Amino acid sequence: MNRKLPFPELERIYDELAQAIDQCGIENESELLCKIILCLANEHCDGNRVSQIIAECLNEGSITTSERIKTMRLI
Amino acid sequence: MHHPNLQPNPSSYYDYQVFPFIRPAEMDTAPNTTQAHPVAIVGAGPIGLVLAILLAKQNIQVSLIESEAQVCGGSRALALTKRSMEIIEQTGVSAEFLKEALVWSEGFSFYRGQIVHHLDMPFSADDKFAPMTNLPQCNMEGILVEQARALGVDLRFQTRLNALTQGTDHVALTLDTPEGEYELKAQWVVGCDGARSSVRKLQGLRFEGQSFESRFVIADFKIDIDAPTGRRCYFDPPWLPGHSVLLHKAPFGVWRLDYQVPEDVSDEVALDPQRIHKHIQAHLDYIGVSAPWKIEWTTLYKPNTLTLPSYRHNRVLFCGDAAHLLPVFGVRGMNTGVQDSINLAWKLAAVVNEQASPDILDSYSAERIADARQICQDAGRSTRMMAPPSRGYRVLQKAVLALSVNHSFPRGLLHWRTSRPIDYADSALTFKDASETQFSTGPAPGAPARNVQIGEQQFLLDCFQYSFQVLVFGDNLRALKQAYADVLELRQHGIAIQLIHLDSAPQQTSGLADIYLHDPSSHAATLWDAKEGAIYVLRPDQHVCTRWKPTSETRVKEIIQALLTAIPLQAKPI
Repeated sequence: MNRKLPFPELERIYDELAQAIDQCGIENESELLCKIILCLANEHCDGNRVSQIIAECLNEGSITTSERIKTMRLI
Repeated sequence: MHHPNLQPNPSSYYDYQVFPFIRPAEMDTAPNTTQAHPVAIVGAGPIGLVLAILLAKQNIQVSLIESEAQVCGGSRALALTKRSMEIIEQTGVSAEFLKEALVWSEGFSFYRGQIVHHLDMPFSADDKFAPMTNLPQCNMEGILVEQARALGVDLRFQTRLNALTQGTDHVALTLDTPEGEYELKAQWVVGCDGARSSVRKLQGLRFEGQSFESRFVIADFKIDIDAPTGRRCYFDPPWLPGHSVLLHKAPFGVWRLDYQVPEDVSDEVALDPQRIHKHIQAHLDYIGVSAPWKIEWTTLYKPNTLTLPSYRHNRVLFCGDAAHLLPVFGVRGMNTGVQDSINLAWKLAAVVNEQASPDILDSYSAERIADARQICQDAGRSTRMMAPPSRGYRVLQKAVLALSVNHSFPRGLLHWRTSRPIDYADSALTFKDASETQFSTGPAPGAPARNVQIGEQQFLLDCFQYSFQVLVFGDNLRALKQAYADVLELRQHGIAIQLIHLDSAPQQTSGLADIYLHDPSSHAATLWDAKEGAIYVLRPDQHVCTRWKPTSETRVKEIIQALLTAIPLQAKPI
């Protein structure tokens, strides 16, 4: 995943997405996010890449991939 | 009667002095017989002290009123930005600050044992000061009190403001002391009395903006840890899941831990010493530090992005936390306040000295509110990342942190958006000359001056007094002579102004400038986009008022006159 979106746009999307989640309520949160992803996938026109991103995001937060930042001291 | 605490605050590193109450002349004089003081400042914290010192440097008599008998307890505002140190230099105590301070330029954010964001703030050879300087606020205040005294500021400790009445030509303050009340009249009053400002309350003014629900415990503790100075942020540490923690190194072997208080914990429980002890130990265990430690000072903090809608209310003005409350993430509190002080001091002095109309004080309010609003926007973002205010933001924070472990694209969202100097480009006091289009770099109109190393341990800003500066670059003798004539004329009207000539020629040949700076490799001229010659007019707060190329017919005296009469934007000399 290379950064393609200009950073101010990323900041704006961050806020919009957070506010959309608040607006839809916890019970509709997953559906909202799925709808957004399906719409973006439809516009992305690269199903394989979308599948790849889904697989990657399933493991996000783990520290196993090659792109991770080197483990360092905590101080 | 007002009786402040006279027991020195406990501290392992600062020797608190209790300042006595000194009975003022007003207490032994019949009411309505005393003349109004030019300026009274309420609050002798760093903002009030910097303002008082800068006014005193312009020969303005200042009465500085402080309810306490000693400087503040604890480290409080710990970190000063480079710009703040440049302002502190104007007060004449930057060297004193640096004697004990720690400087730093790096910050790290940790998540699940990984560094997910690394900020390395630029530090150029042309910068005199490091990006960040850490010194406890009590030490800063102690140094500033000494400087204020040396400059003849009338410091009135143990004096609490009880009432305030605005008249047509003065403000009457009712002040309470250990020996009873008295009235002090001042032409101008500045509220620098912090977040719980009495001046603001007595004026019945309210903040606008956003108050966040999250709270943070701030705990200073003494410990010997061999680690560099810097900002360390820990998201979701195992001992405080779902919350954020900050760790800062202060001088004197003191470290500061700021940690978020869970929603279901009351303020009282959060400040329970045993609980704080447990949390500090838990964090030290988490980061692998086993050294013994001792608590120094604790407090509870709530981030806000609030500002008054105006910092001028007739003859009462507001500076620092009395005017705006900003989150500490990104070192915005005091660093914003000292920019208020340096902005206000020259304008207020010009009004008191009858060199400018009181309308110029509205530009103080406009310029500084624009800054506060921008900071509220920036700080709001960093606060929402540090302490998400809703489920939506919590989901986003978690997602960004998880993605940041393996991907670089979202890491910028973890940036805490450090306090930065404001640009007054849109101010009514900023003029764009017709030749402005010929500049491509250099400090633009409204921007703060750019420092330049001009010799070993010598910097351009070292030469600046707290006065207007005219910088003439190049060997254009006509331009220099014109600037010199204008400077002389302005001085005849009592305006403090300094003429600085920078040129690549080996020695001063004109004898016209107050200061000649040899710029052999045209390094300064390059950074100021003045290799072909240029004139800059700077305000006393070191912001560029305007600049022009040698082709322009603009004159220094016209600019200073326009600036002091605060002519509106549409009348800009273009």
